[in-house]
Amino acid sequence: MRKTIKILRQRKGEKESFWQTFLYESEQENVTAAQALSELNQRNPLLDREGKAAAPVQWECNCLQGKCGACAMLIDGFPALACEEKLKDHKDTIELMPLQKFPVIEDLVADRRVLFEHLKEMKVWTEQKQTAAPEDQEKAFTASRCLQCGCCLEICTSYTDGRDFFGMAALVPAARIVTVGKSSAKKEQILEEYRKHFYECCDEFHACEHVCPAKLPLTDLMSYMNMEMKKAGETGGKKDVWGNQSGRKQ
Amino acid sequence: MSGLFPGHATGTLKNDGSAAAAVFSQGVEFGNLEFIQYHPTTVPVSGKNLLISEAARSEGGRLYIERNGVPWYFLEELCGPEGNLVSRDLAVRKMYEVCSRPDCRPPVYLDMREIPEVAWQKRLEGIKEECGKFLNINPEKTPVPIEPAVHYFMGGILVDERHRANKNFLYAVGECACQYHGANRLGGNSMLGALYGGKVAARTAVEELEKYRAAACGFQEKGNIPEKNFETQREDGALRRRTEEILSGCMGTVREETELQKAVRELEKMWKREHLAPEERNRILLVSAMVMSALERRESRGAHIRSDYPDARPEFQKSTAAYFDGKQVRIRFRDIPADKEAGNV
Repeated sequence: MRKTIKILRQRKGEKESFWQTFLYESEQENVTAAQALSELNQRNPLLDREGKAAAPVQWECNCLQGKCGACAMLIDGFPALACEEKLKDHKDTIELMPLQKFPVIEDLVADRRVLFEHLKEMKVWTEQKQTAAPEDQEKAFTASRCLQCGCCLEICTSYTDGRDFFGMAALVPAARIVTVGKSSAKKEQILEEYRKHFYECCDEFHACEHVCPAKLPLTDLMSYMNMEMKKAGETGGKKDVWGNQSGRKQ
Repeated sequence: MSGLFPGHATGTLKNDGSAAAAVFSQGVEFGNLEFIQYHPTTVPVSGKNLLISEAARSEGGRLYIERNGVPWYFLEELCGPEGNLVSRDLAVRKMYEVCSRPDCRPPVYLDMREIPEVAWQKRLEGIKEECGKFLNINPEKTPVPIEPAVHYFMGGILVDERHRANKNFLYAVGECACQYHGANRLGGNSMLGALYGGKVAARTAVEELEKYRAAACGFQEKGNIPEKNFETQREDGALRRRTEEILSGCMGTVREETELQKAVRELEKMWKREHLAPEERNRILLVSAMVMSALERRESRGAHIRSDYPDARPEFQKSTAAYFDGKQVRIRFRDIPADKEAGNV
């Protein structure tokens, strides 16, 4: 197959981005965007469609089998993992862009550290060694499978960097912590953070679930967190300035 | 160091050993670099090798190769009825032997058609999903063509029981360290190395923190690394590719004297070049250490298989230790300590 691959590039330290187009051919039917990028970068020299010499394309990659989330990028406008996206499912011209909700470091590499900053701020960890009860273990395992790739935030209509809303990428790990310990100060703390950074801001658009590369049941996890939050409210969560129990958003 | 074997490893391309190479060039000792575990059942996809877990064979998967047009279940014939369950190094050795036979036609296949349905549902769902996603094959109905690929490095930075390397305040843990595995590694034991070793190393680092604060560290500052332009990137790229070619040529599943000697000579010429970026030089030094360790171990033991020395030899029941003395890469042999006290570097 033959494809024209347009890449939105940006040099390290510079603010200007520019498109560069490459011609790509492969004998293999199931070739992925990741493979195309690897092969382009092996060309010596790498020439763009106009015959101009190009620096190798910078992109993040790690497992190359959909298990780490490193290669998340926009492929024809939708967030996806480059290692899972088959070129044959796209048109003759394919556009690759870095995730736009995060600062771009270079070419297709976006700075996703904010995902970890959110988890730190919400204190998404256990203070003591704890295990989920047998009935919660499946949920615990599901919630532990988040790749922290950022695709959910990219597609989300409510998420912008710098605001209170931390999105699904924060909800899922938080749900993992909530699965351990039936009642504890830690659980209440997490649920309070959840209310502030998710419950009160989520528009319930659910596009996140469509793009999640790990195919996590995000709506189910959200229901679980909402239920846990309500339960915590019933057993003495925070009251607002008028003495009302915290809970329903207006 | 899986990134040094692109297209022949299950690990990520990003692990190119650059950190290890940087410390090696400063005199840190590395052990058992010749012991590289090749996993028998992998499939090349998308620039890396996808691992098909051993669970496939323990649930009833069988290896075969076409001999005179007919599937030959060679492990069962050569290694007995439990033949499919032999250790990784033995499976890889047998695969190499049968692929070299004139009456056999590669590739080797992993036949999972006889695995019961309940095993697929309860334990092998992941394999089925990956074969479908990456290969368009339903392993319940179609045998999967496989090949061995680099999977784990038993060797690495030599550390003592407290995970200290031979330089002050350097600790190494996990696959980059040489501690818990020998000529082979049992499945699951890498987790031992990471979890237990991590705990021990962290404890040691904290215990030595005061000493560290009081002393000056022996390692170089990063210094000025010249900006790369297209030309240097291209030259580095060409050098890197040649290093990778040399490695995959002489450090495959089966090794041999003349190929290893040739590789050592060529690598020496490469790292002694002028105007070589430090990163590139260090990588080639580390690769030389790997090849030289394989050369000096003139026997076959575990994952290290020599066609010219097919058996284990008692005089080699030792660890190799590689180090750079500033002028040459050197290999020596270390006795394996008989007891705990003697285990310190």
